[in-house]
Amino acid sequence: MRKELRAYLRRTEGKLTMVAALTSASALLLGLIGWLVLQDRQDMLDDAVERRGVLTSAALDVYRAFADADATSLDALLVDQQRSPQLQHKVRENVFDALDALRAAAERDGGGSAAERIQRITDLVPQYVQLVESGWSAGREGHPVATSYLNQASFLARGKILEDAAALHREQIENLTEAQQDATGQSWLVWLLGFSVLGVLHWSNRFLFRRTKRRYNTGLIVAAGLTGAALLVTSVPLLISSGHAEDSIRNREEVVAPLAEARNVGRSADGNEARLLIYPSVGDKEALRKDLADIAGLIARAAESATDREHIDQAADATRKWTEADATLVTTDSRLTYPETVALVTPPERGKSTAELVDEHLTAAISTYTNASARSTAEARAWISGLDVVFALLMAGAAIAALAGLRPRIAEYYR
Amino acid sequence: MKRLLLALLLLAGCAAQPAQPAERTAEPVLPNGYRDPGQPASLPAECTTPEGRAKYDPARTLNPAGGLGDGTSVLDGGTLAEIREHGLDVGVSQTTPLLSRRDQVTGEMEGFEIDLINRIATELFGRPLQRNDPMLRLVTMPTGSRLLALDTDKNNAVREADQALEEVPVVDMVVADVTMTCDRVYNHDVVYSTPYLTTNAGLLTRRGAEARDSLDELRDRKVCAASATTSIVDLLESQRTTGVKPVSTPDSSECLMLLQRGLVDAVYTDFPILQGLQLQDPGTELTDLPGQGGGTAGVAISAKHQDLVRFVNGVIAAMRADGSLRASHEKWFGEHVRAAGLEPGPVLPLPPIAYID
Repeated sequence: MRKELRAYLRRTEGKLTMVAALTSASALLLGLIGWLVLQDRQDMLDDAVERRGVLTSAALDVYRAFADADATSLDALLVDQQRSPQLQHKVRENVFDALDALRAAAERDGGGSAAERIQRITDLVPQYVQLVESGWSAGREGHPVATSYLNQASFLARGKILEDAAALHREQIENLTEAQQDATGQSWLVWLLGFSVLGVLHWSNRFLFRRTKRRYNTGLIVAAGLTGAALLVTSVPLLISSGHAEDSIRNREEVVAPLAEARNVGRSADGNEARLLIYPSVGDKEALRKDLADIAGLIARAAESATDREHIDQAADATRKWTEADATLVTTDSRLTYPETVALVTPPERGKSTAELVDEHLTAAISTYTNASARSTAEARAWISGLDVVFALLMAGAAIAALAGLRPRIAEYYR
Repeated sequence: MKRLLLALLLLAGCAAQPAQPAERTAEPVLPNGYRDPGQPASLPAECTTPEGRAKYDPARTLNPAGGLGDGTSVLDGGTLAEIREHGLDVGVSQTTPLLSRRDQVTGEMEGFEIDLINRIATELFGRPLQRNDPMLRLVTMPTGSRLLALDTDKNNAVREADQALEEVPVVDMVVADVTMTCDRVYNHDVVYSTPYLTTNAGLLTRRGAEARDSLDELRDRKVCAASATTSIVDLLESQRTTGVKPVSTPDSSECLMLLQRGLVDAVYTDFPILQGLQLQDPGTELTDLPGQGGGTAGVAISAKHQDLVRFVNGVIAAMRADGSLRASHEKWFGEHVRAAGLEPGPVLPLPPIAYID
């Protein structure tokens, strides 16, 4: 049997059968690999849209909620007992929102350092809440130990919770960017295999020419055409998708990231103002001066790449006013009286403080550009929808065409 | 075949028992600047020799009757004229009830030391001061840098060397239960007024069945004092005999917080400071430790401002003579403490007034 097979393969019809098998198998293999690669790309973008995007937003929300709670918890000690409950309520809402965001992050977390960070933050929440509530309770009694509790809570929030939340956000942004770039970049494996298949088809055609003196085989030409079409059909949408992904990354990294950082620094500055009264320590004024300068710098950086600048310009304007208002506060020999300082650093009874306005405009700008970034990611995903099926069908067609082209030549030897 | 599948499934079920979650505990968060063992102030070599101790004796102060050496009165001094024109800046603590405490909402300050400051300001400006009078500014000093706020050559050199300290406000005097010590005179180039308060140490513990009224009864337990104070030095020195574990925080108010949170078992510092801490927590017990720790507290002033030192000494002498210093002490450490249902502590006599000129 084996001898017969070897004898058959030595004959021309046997060799042609082998060529037919090789061309159709290589086309089918390319179809299978292309299908898998494109499906993986689609999954990556789905993951970017549905999981990593949400995780990134959740990490940002965790930071913002705790930074806001930190600043407001200190303000609540400085205002009278009629206004204090309103600020205390805001802090409790902040912690509630932070826990919600942590829950959302935990649900979409794929493990690793993100899971550890989420767990560390969650572990610290009961202590943070206990310190803040104890501080307020002592403050209601007029006990100075209130300042120690709130300072301790602030130290916990700034030294541990916010650091982990910032790192979580940073890591998620990096992962998201990497996922988007990986999902929309050209697949060099598919190109390499594609050219190999084209090479096999070309070689098959030459082999056929040598044996049958027929210059062109229609089936092999159609198969080559379909393979070329499959490669083009894949690469052009990937190229367009990559453009959308780049838009998304640019919006996120050049506009959203500096604005989000400016907003975080804004919350820190808001807290630093209150700390000047509650627990003054060396470096507070310099920290506040630096915070205000950093906010202005970050907003200016975002403005360079932003196209819709309405909210960004408003935030820059509010930051300017805030810096001007705090000029007297950060001078070494400030002549402000205590009530004047309290009025400057706590939210007004009516309307909004400049710190709140900065936060509000930055939030609006962040929201606009986050939505734009998410839209670009969705468009990038839309451009590669169904590509896997089209690619697989084209390559299946190429395999059939190659077989169909070679079949009559093989049949000639059996007449 | 079916039996084999069933056996495999059962085996898989047993193997897939949910793993027991690892046991975890929440680490307690400690204050920024918490030290275990506690952090004492560095003692300069000059304060370890008899000559050095005599030279930097904190009790060396100036006679209010002394002139400026040019025939003019102390009341004509340059520092006093400057203060009368631009106002008086005084560095205070805001977390020591009975001595000096701030209402965080109104900003008003009250206490024994505030009475003293008000009297000094009244005499300086020649009129009683109004509420929030812009001529008297009580500056809450950044923790750990109170004496750095005085305008002395040594302080200025330190501030110039460290940019972070540039923002420490400059004040004319510091009144913040500053125990008069040689190292403070040497390190900051300050001159103290005559003492306005004499203290000894005390021990604040949580109330309970177990007796904890001496350091000996706190063996292997954490006892807290403020960093760089004479109290933490006392604790570290007594560690070998009593077996306590001294820890320190930047502010004694943080020691109370740690006591309430169960992270330390006692607070050791000047008795009047502990009285203020006890007022904030009825669940605590205060023990007087006569003969231990403490010392005398004086107003700290730059050695460059001799006219101000003389003036303040004059005011303190007058307050001692007319009984107002004693009355203020009784108001805060007697009446206020009794009103809170607590036992007032002993009244320690002030040392006799002595000047070097």
